Amino acid sequence: MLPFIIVGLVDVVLFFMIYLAPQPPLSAILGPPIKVFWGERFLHYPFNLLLIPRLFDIAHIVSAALIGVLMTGVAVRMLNEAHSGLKPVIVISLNKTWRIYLRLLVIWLVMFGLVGVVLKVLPAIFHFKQRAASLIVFGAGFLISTLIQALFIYAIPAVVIEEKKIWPAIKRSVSFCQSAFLPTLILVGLPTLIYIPMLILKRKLPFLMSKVFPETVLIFIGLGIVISVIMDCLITSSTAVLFLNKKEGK
Amino acid sequence: MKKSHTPYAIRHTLHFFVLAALLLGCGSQYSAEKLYWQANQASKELAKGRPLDKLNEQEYEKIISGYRRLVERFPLESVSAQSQFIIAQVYILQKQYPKVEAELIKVIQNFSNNVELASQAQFMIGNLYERQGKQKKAILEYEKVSDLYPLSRIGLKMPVYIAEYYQRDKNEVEAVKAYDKAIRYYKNLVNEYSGTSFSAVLKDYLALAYVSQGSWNKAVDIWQGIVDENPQDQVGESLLFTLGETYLRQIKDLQKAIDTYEEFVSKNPNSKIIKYAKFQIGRLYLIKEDFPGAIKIFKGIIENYSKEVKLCTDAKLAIAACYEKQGDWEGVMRVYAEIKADYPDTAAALSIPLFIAQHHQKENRPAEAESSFKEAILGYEKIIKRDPHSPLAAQAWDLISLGYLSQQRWDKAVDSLRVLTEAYPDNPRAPKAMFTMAIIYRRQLRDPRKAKEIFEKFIQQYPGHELAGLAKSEIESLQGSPTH
Repeated sequence: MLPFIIVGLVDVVLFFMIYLAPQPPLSAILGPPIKVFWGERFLHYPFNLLLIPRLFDIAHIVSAALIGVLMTGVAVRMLNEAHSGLKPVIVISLNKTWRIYLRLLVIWLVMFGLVGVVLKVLPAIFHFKQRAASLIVFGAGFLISTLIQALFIYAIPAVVIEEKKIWPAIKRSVSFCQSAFLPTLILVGLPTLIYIPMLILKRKLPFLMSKVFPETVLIFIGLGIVISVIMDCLITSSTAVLFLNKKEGK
Repeated sequence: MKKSHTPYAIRHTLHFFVLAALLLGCGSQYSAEKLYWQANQASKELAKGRPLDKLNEQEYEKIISGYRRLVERFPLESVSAQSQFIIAQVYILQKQYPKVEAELIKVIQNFSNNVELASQAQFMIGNLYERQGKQKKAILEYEKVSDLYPLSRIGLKMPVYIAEYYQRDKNEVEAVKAYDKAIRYYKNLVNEYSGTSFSAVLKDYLALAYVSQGSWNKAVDIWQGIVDENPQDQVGESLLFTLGETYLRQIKDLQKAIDTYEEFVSKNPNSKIIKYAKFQIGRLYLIKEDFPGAIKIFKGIIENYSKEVKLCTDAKLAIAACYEKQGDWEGVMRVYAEIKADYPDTAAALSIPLFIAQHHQKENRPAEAESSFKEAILGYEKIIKRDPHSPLAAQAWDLISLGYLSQQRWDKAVDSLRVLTEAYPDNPRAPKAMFTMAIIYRRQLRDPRKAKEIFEKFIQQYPGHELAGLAKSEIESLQGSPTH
């Protein structure tokens, strides 16, 4: 759990920085880009709160690429150590995982890129204005991205545990997923379902902010960070354990 | 071992964040903005859509106390000055003029370094006397604005404002003197700041003084000079269009208007606004009824700026207008079909069904007009139903109201305008819709009480809008009308 809590804490720091962006001393650094890309008004209350989800999305991508990927590798290594009867120590695992960071990052980038393409391309191709049809597109996007995640999920254990290079790790992940397709889909899909209410809430956020109070966004992002930590922990741990068990032929 | 370290590390990290938040999260400007927003929300809730002058004393006190809290906690933040202006407005409604003046003097004292805020407060003191009919005192305060804050926005406007004030008061002798004084004043400033970037702004004020006197020819000479000297500047760019419109509407010299834009286009081929200047040339050819010339220009715009959707749809609509003026309805429909196909989700495409209905009406084909209006409105209602929160939905309501207005179905028009103002108060179409609604109540439905109520709401909701002045004069004339 600790590696994921670290990722969560990094997200909290970024969240704080974004929240405090309109105020000194952070406004000196974050103020000018916000002004250039979104406009002066987003440096003032309550408009700054409207921009927080968007800025946090960007910050979260950066934190996931820099820290999240590394900590996922660390978590997998710690699970492997525990599975082998050794005492998992985060500092030692971090020291070993750091050396294969580039491989983990490339795998994450491929997976993130594919999911991103699906989530962007689907609504662009099937541009429906009817609510029901747009919900179907949303559901299809969710299913396809879960499928992509399931196909790539074992690439990180393959790199960390089996010390494979990028392409062999991806091939191993796909073949492992095929051999345990349904359990993998459940292990990836079920925790991801927890995040769906957050996605729905996100669409209604401007409305909620105007009806309840503008600070609703802070609760939403805070809750999102907690859910992300739980979700990442569940997906990574359960699939890594399945990988280890299957590898041992249990 | 690990278990004992983990909560320790997390606890300390959390302590760090709480401390950082406390240290960083106490910027006075941000906190002041938050209080200002809260005071605004509380006032809106109290008013419940009523105009400010319809509130009772207790409600006024509650509004004042909300803003007062901010002024007391952050007296030097600019939103505090805004709050004090609001407090002053509430005191004006209560006719507590000494309190208004005291509030505005506090703004002048607290914001002596901020010339814009201080000059606004000084101007409001003058306006307070003007409101009470104390002309001499008002002029004295207005002159103070000009003396103390000569280069502020309001300070620069003051000499002409004083002349206009005399004119409004039918004091022709003093008005002429004040205009002469204003023109001398601006000429001196222009000389003083010649060679600086500010000189263009000062020349524009001089031109506006001539405009206020009705000397359009003198004004256009000055504007032409500014445009020639600053073709790439924002001032020069915006004045080019003022110049063109002045030749067209005031001096009524269409050819001179065309020449102005054509000269600009030939002299400044790299200007950012050249596309708009070209569009204006096309528009003027259309007015001149040189249809082949106009169509050629608009087609050129579409070809050269194909990625600018708004400009291209406007050019296409202008081509359609050329065909319509020539009686070529087939040509019009061909262009409309192109717009629908090439730019389906645009304001232009949305307007087409209404244009068709209006054409049938103009051609005196009532049955066809009736069914076209019906079809257009049904189409707009479908768009609204599909996504009531989209900007297109607001436009659809606007077009529905235009449809009913064309058919002179005033009640229905008012209903749709009301929806537009209530459901989309922040949409740029909303202020005009509210103003139109008031005009319908006044002129067509003959309900001056309702019209006045809406005009007052308009001023309260959109005080800075270009129609606010007109709304005020409508209220004044309604107050003087025997039916009221």
